[in-house]
Amino acid sequence: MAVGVNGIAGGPSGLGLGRLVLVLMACLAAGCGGGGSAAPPSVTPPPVSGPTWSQGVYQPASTFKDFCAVVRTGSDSQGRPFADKVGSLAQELFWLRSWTNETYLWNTEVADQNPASFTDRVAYFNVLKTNATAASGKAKDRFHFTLSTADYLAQVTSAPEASYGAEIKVFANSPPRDVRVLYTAASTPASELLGGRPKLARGARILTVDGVDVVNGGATQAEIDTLNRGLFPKTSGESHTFTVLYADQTQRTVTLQSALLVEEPLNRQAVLTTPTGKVGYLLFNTFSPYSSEKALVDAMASLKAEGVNDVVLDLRYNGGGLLAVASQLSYMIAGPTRTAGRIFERLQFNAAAGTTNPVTGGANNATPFYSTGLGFSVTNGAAIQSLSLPRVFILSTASTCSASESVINGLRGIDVEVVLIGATTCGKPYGFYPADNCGQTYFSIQFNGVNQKGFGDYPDGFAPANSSSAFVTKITGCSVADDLSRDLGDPAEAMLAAALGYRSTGSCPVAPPSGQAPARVADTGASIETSARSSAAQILRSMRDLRMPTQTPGGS
Amino acid sequence: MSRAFVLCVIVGLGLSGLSGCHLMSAPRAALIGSGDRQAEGRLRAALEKELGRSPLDLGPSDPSRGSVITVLPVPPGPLEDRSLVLPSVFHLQIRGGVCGLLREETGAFISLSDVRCVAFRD
Repeated sequence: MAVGVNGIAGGPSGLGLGRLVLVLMACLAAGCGGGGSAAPPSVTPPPVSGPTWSQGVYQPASTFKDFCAVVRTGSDSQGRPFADKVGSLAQELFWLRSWTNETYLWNTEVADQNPASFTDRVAYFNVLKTNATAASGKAKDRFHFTLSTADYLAQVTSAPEASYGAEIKVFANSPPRDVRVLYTAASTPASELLGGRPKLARGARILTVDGVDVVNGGATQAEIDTLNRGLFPKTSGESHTFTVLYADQTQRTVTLQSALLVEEPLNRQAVLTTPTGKVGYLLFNTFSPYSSEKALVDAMASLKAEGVNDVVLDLRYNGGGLLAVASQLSYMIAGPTRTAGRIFERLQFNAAAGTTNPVTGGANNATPFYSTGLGFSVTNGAAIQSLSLPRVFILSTASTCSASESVINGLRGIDVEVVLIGATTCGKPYGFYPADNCGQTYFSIQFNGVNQKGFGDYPDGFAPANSSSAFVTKITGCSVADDLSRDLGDPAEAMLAAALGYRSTGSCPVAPPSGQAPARVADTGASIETSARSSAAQILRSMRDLRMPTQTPGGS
Repeated sequence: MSRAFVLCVIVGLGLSGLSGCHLMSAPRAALIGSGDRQAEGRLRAALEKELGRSPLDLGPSDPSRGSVITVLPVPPGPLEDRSLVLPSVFHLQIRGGVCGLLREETGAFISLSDVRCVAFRD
């Protein structure tokens, strides 16, 4: 499914119309074609007026903003009138150049290339980034995206998505393929009971889809299409049949019908009784929906009422979302005394920005530890409960990203001990403000979030202290592979068991518990590390689709 | 009604929506009548005009039960994993006899013509 990839990499360049507008503008500038006086045919048209490039000299981005090669009329899906004015492709490219110089975090590392050498705005945007590499050898900027504004708004305003209510992950997308269920949500087609057990469950391996062999099939495009249609339905009401091998090695055939679903941010919560007190467990999978605020506030109030004295926060599949809700969660863990007068996260922009936010033009105010409702789904100003804990256990994988990593970093900034159990996090201390210009929305890294202590340098992620990974930021904890043989929240599941064990003994498991998922489930950094909620969710959504062995993923 | 207020009203009618009169008395938190659909519609229209987008979604507050109103931002998309968006916060108030909305972010007071408010009592 290359829709998302095409949207990001190619986008509507508007090149043909752009050239037409340029010609028309040149014509207008020359005074041709109107007024009833024909110009002598031998006169050479004057050069097209427009911005000219001078190496290292930048006009304000506002000079070029909204001057478009192709002008939109009307309003966007949010009812906001388009600001487009008649302009040119050149003006769009000069806007990109100046905007990058003003707001890009690593603006001094961008080679200043003449826009005149480019005929496509997306192609030009793609070079407006640093080419430096991190110490690990990874690209320093792995988060440079663009897509059409219409597509962007369609995503942010989209209705619930067609789904079975199961998070399906492709661990290997060439034969022998390995496609498994990470988790399911309650009251969804996946969790419907058949013969007394859910149709899909964590760890279940999909062997066939509508009669096509997932593991070794897919020799033709038609078979690949069948697999993708069944695994990732596009509409509600689609019925597909699967052969499933469950974690207990039993096998059966089930039929699932897709439905329009919205993922609940809090998948499950539990209170685990131990000899040394109650431990709260929260499986929190996304900070994105506005309902995440109420879900967390209610869950923490419940854990407080239960009298827990430790919390295991399962963020292993949480790719981030609203920073403010991450701040509230951190406040609810740390409590008022530890957070008083301290900041959760401060944004560091490029050096030229000084103390201002170069995107908004306003003051660069830090995100505090929010101690009340903010009005997403909890009344603004309403008091929220806190557990006032000196430490927290966080379960992580490479899908633990961005705002989730802010929770780790923000709490460490105020000396709350974070015990990390699992694998290296994704390593994204950065963020951006999406910027529309002329129908294309650009995502370019603009800030680095740092904590109360000024630390935010974790581009290769946080890892447990005994991790073998190099270049990562190591913190207290234990490396443990994701355990697909047990349900999430099961005290015997390897990561949760390691957290409970560390809490009890202060040490990590000596050997991986038996029954764990394949080794590649752990911190492999494989390209098909798929999760719909990770930092590049849209790209990954397309990458998770199965392909024929000769096909390669597109995109930037 | 004080003489100053009457004067203010007379002058203010010819100026900018009685804005000067808002300073004549301390603002009071306010509510709109429960089930007053017309008032709710005008309130929403004023918010849409102020924020320049329509339609918009309100947060969990109920203006007939609480004076703080939040307007939800455009939801973050799937690429926005560290989104800085926050709801816009408005306070329903009565100032100098005029019902309106105080926008917390800017301090601007937006008069709500033809909306009847009642003072909020905890």
